[in-house]
Amino acid sequence: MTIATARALPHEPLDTTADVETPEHIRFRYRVAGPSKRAVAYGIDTLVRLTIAVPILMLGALGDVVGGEGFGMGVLFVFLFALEWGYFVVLETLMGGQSLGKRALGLRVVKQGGFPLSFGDSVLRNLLRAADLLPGMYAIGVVVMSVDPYFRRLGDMVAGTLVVSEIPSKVANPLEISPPPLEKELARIPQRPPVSPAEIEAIELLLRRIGQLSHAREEELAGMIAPIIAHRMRARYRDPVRFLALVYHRATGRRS
Amino acid sequence: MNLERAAIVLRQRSTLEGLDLAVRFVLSLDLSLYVKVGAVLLSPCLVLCALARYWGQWSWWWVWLLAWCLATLMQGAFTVVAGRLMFSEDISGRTLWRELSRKLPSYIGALLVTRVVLALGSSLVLLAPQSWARGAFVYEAVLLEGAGAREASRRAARFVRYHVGHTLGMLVALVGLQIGCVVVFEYLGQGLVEFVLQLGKPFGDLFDDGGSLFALAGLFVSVPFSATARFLSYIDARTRRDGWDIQVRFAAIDTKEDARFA
Repeated sequence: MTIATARALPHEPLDTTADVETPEHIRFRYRVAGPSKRAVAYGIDTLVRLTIAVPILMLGALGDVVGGEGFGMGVLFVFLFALEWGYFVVLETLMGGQSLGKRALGLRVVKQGGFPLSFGDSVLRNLLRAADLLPGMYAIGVVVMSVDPYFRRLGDMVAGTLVVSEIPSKVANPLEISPPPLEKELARIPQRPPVSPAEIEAIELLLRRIGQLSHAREEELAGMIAPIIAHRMRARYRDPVRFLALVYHRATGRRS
Repeated sequence: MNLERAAIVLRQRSTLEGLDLAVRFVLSLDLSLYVKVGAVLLSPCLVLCALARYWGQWSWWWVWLLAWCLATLMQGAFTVVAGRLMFSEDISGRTLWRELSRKLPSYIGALLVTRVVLALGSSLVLLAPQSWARGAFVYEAVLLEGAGAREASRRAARFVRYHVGHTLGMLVALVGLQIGCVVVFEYLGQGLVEFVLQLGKPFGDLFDDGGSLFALAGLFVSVPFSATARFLSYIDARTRRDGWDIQVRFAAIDTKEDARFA
């Protein structure tokens, strides 16, 4: 057997992201939520709905005693119907595209152009749940979601929505260089080191992982760009990690 | 391996994000290759299980046990496929079989060692999670790092030493993925045969009988996804431990600098 070997390398590596272009030609990159994240969020929402439904079920049984046979169960079924169809619509509309499960996992439903979800969109995407559910346990929905590049189920496709994964926006703590740079060390580094913002960002990525990587690996990584930067500045160094830390310190204008 | 040619963006990911990426990896990177390897390796497994059930009259418990053993074994082939595709290496059927057959004794040995450790750990209930996590990356240790059976199980155990909780989360998610595939295929298969074609339930019913042909097919379909998801979790661990994301960024700076002077 011969398996086709040729695979043109995609121009961009794979990720769980999707690019969206607005009518104003502004491009956004979202992290889209796939079947597993959404399944866990749905599981949480199911637990929440069960928590609401169980006491109502008990009340329904009580209603039979008070209002006559079948009365309680009738009320109960109306309520369960409303819970099943209204839970997601109400919460997504009131909570800016999130249900409780989605909020727990940091997911949000948005319009494909990045706009907030409206009541109409929410109704539409949740109405189509009936189709995604078929023939049971969201089988169609899972298959459709898996093959769609935006991980959309049928309801999302019809309503023009996406479920995105919000990236928690934490303000990173200022980077502490340890031991603090000495004046003598800084004297060898220009006031404005010739490094681009992308390079500073890459150096910061390394400096923030100091201690999590082995010492040898830290030196190996720093050794990849320390000579380039040193060459630009006509500087010399002994410890590449320390050298990059000093460059970062100068470039970001931090004072010890 | 050339990290700059990695088929995925190298960054730290959560377990669930890794699972979602595995779906995209299998379905959009080289689906035809996965289909071909699946057809050659997984179809005979399904046929074997069907024969055991319908010809050998095995009970569903034994059929599931056989299916689970075969699915575990077959994960190796998809680990090699994912490893090769990850770094854009060409892979032909011949090289895949050659690589697999060369490593098969070590691979089976390593699987046996880790399963024995798991059985021993499970007998002392408290050690079960630890023993389960220790064997999680034995596939990668044997098939991608080229370690022998005992060395692979030692290496796999060392690999997760400080990340047992995270590894257990990943293993639970993989079990969830497999169960999900079984249930989805059961519903799709029964929906087609029972409701659309109105043929009843000629292939059994997962919920009434304890198993069906569709559910078995679901288990085997989950194999490429779970092997890829586990492999991506291994890549994630290496990215965290060895700073692969940093290496890629630094290599890009280096390349840009070279281009400037060229």
